[in-house]
Amino acid sequence: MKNNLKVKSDFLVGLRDGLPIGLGYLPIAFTVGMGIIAKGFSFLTNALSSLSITAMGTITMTSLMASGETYLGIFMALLLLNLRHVVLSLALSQRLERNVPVIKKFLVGLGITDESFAVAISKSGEITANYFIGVAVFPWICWVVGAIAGSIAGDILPQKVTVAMQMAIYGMLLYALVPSAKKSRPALYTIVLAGILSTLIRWLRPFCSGNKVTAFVFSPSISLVLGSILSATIIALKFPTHNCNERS
Amino acid sequence: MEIHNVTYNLVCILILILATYATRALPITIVKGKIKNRFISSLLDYIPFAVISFLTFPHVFEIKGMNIIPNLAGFLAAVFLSYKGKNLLIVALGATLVSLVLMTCQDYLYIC
Repeated sequence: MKNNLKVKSDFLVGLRDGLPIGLGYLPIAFTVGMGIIAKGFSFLTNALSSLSITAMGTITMTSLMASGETYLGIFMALLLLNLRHVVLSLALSQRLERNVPVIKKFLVGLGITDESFAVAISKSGEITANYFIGVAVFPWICWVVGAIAGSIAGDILPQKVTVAMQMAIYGMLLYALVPSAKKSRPALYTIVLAGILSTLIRWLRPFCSGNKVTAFVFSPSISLVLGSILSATIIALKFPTHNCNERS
Repeated sequence: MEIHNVTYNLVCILILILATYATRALPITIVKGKIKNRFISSLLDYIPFAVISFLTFPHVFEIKGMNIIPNLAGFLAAVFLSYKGKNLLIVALGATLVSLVLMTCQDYLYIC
């Protein structure tokens, strides 16, 4: 009985800690939803994509879809983008209470986002599975609600506003880059190198459509995967990080 | 208005959901222990920046329906605001607003 009470209260504490994250997600999800509509995708596409609770993933998918990329290419690009979550997931596994059933561990994993991770990891001591699942609830609900609201707004607003809203998506991307570039030299070098490589590839792409192999390598999704790995590898060889969990 | 057929869209969304949740849920479920290799952990640190940079450049300067002046101004506004440590909403909406104002100014000038 006592055990049952503790399970409940952990979950409730988690819910409370997750609420501010959820409220923070509302405007982000709203902007992403609006941006997707501005790009010409449907309400349904936006609503279903919002189930993934990821701004970068959704933006990556829609930009690759816009150029009609293959399923394999999109999958590889998204896996690469999400590699960071592997690190978060591993780091969380080190702090999670012991003897959690596999199904529950899986549920905990589903709830991982940068913010829920940051909130949970800042607590002292072991993190219980119920607490983390509680943390994940509001962010999840708020993301879906925000994205749907954004796509409705995107449909109603005048065309000029939705054209300008595309800038919001790039604002988000730059928001993910600039502060890190300011703080860390290697991050700045990675961004510059990848940016130059991406621009070169973009310019060369029209000349590479004749040959099957070069057309594949220069396609948006495959060049993103290869180019990102190349730039990150060069910088990682030159500037290895000191600490596995530096980013967290 | 949908730019692709329904099947393509649905499969892509399934891929998005699969790729997102698999990378979050599988490591914590399966792997025990820590990543010790310094090169691998550095690579994991830098790859997100490389991917996001690939998505940003040069496409941030090629926004459809906007010419170079509002486009560049929006970009600079986003860089400036995020450099100043403003929060995500301010950065995204600030950049949008700058572009929108310049687009409107341009329309007005062309009419006159």
